Amino acid sequence: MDNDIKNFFKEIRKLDDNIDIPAFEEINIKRNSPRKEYYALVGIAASFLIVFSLFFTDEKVQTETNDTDYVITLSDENTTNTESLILEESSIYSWEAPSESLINNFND
Amino acid sequence: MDKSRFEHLLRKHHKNAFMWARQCCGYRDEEAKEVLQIVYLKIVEGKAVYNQKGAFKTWLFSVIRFTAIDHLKKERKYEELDVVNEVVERESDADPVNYKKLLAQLSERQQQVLLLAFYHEMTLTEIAEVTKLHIGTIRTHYERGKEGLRTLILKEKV
Repeated sequence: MDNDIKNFFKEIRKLDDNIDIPAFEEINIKRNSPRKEYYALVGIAASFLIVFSLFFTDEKVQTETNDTDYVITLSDENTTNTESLILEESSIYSWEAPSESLINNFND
Repeated sequence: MDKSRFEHLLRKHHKNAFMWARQCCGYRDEEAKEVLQIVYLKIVEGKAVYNQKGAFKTWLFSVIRFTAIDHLKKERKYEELDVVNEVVERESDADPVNYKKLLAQLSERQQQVLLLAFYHEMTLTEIAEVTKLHIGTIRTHYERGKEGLRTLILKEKV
């Protein structure tokens, strides 16, 4: 009963014997456990933290040294008296022509 | 069930599982590998749970079948259906009798039922368990599949 069908599938099975079956280990690739993933994340976060803290510490030290570097000193100690550098000069708008009175008299 | 017991069972059924995955993926080795990898991961990570009611092989075959369906849906979204048949034709050309080509002429359900019954030597009840179909439906596919295949074999002989 059903011998023709059975023989048909027997032939298919014979042909399939030539197929390379991948090894169990090749298929069953083990994924990292969640605990391992957790540790990996913590490690990455910690290294970032270290890098950032180093970066900011360096910057702080640099700014502190910069503060001490700038010292204002007077180069010419002999000139202790301060003179005003702005000299008062007559403005062009308040200038009066010497012949202005003549013009006024002429109008009168 | 503990991990080592699962691994032992998977090792035991590995060859048949690969052949079934291959049959579900249109005889494509690479896709069968991918499907089986997903299946093993599902089992190891506890996403596919074996309730120990039926045989392990039946349950494993069922997981493979549904994973293959999902995988093929995703992969073939933009692919033409002709590509699937191409693999069968290419492989069949090498055979003196085109067994897989003959089988490919039946409906997908009939092919799977006959493969599970005659290639993997499962009972109709087990096939119903694998395919999650009613036993009556399986019987119909089984009888019609056999009839169809018989006709095709006779045609091939003539």
